[in-house]
Amino acid sequence: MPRQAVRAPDGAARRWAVRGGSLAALAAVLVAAVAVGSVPIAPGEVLDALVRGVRGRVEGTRDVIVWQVRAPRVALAAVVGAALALAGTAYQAVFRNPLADPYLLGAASGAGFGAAVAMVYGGTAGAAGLAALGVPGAAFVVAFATVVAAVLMARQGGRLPIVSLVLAGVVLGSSLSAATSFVMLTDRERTAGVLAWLLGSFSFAEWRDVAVVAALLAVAGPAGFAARRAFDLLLLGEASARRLGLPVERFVWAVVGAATLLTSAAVAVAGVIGFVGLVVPHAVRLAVGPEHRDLVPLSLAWGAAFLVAADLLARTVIAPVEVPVGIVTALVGGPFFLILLRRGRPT
Amino acid sequence: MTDAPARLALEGVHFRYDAGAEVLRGVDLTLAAGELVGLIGPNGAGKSTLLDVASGLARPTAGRATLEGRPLARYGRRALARRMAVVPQRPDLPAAFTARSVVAMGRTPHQGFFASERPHDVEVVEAAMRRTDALRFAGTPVGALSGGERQRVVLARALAQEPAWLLLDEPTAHLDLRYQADLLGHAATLAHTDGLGVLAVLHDLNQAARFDRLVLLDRGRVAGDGPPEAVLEASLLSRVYRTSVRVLPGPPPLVTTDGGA
Repeated sequence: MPRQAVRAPDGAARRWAVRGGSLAALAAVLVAAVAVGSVPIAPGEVLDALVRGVRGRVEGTRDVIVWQVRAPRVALAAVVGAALALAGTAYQAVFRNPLADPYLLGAASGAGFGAAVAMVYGGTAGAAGLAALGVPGAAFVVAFATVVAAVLMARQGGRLPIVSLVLAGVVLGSSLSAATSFVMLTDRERTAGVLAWLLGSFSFAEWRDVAVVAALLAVAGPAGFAARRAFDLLLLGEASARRLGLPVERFVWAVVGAATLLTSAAVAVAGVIGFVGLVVPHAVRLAVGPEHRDLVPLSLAWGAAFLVAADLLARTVIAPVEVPVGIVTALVGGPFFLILLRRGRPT
Repeated sequence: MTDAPARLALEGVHFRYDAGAEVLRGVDLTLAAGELVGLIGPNGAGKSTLLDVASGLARPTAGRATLEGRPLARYGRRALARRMAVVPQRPDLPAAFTARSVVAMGRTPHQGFFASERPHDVEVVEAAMRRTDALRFAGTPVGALSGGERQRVVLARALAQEPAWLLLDEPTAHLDLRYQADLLGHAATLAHTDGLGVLAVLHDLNQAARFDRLVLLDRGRVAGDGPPEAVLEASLLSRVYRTSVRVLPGPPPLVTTDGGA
């Protein structure tokens, strides 16, 4: 009698509807973002141009706009959004903290500092090494180094106490933010440029950037899905997770390593875009609950869709001027999330 | 099975938390397959710590802890979780998970990293829930369950691990009479019928009186180890619990303090 209740206990039909709807929404947002711009292109033509390009034929102005201007930008927003949402989902599980986001361990402040130094002091001997990496390279290296430093400071013997790790990351991040502000003030001519970078933008998107983040995501995405049960176990607390077979320490190391790579790469190519990694996992949780078999893949999809939509707004609301996309994610995403929170049950 | 001894054995186990005082000071304890053993003792005697050591969560600072002839420290987390399950005192359950999802977590040590749930997993989960009478609320979020129902979910999760060894930390602490009796009944059946080695930390000495064997812990040392009628002895209990204890003649013996009935 209750057999069915055991197999499909929590609305399997609804889950499949949410999964299908999410994929459809992502596809629609992607096509719309390529279609909309100073030269509007019909959705059908977007698809035709994409198909032609995949076959190696880029013909006419519209194909060039699609393939060289809009598609790389949309694709970059999609992979960066997916990467940040995945890292945020992982951190919220590992740190068992709803306020955790991909920047928790200082990656964003490190990236900002690296980029600011490269931009402001790029011409001087002291920063030549950093500047030689280019702004994205400098941002990536310092972001990664910041998290490594936080880990080294928090480590006690072979153990990595989570509270110490978070504290070290937060403190390092604050110090680096202060240092970034100082760097900006020493050269007021470049302040606006640094600030614009810090707030995030996809206006210089190139396929090369897309390829880097997509390659990382191609490994981290499936790995994150494979780890869905481990994430679930961590919700029981460290002791229970261990007793159910999870080597908690090793798992946390692996997650922090992978999330730091993803986050550093995302920040390096797009600047510090806040809110995606914090809010998308929560929004998905409100829709499908806390189990990671759905939370991981749907966070990837909605992270991509959310950031593509935010970038679309960023370049169209007061066109031809662009709003930094990080401002859009916070201004639009914040109230949207609060509405979700009021309607759904708290996570 | 190999000819490895089917027992959980602690030999001369000492344990201290980082810089603190020694919590366990030379404990010897064995648990054989099919045996139902109760671990009793006053607050702070080291019962929970002993359970942590026996479940491989804490490593002895001195002495040996072995399971089936092999040091606990040499088991990987997954391998150990396939042999041994622990029912914690106050299970921390994510409120939005359904009871069924929580029980299914017990299958994790048997599942491959990428693999999804196999038909066999579904059967084991269902059997475990039927056994603890948790099937009725399989689809209910655990946050909406009563304390007794949650405890049955956690016991089912432990059974879904298909363990040979089961450790329980004050399993009846938050349960009313009926669920206390249910749970102790399960523990006895699992030991005597299914052949599991069952070790339970107990506070209620009258529940302890129904166990096969009792180990009495006092300030990190074993003060008594034997059948209930030997360990539940007025002068021993009075000394260990530092209060005047009376044992009314049984069987089973009834333990009370002078302040009680």
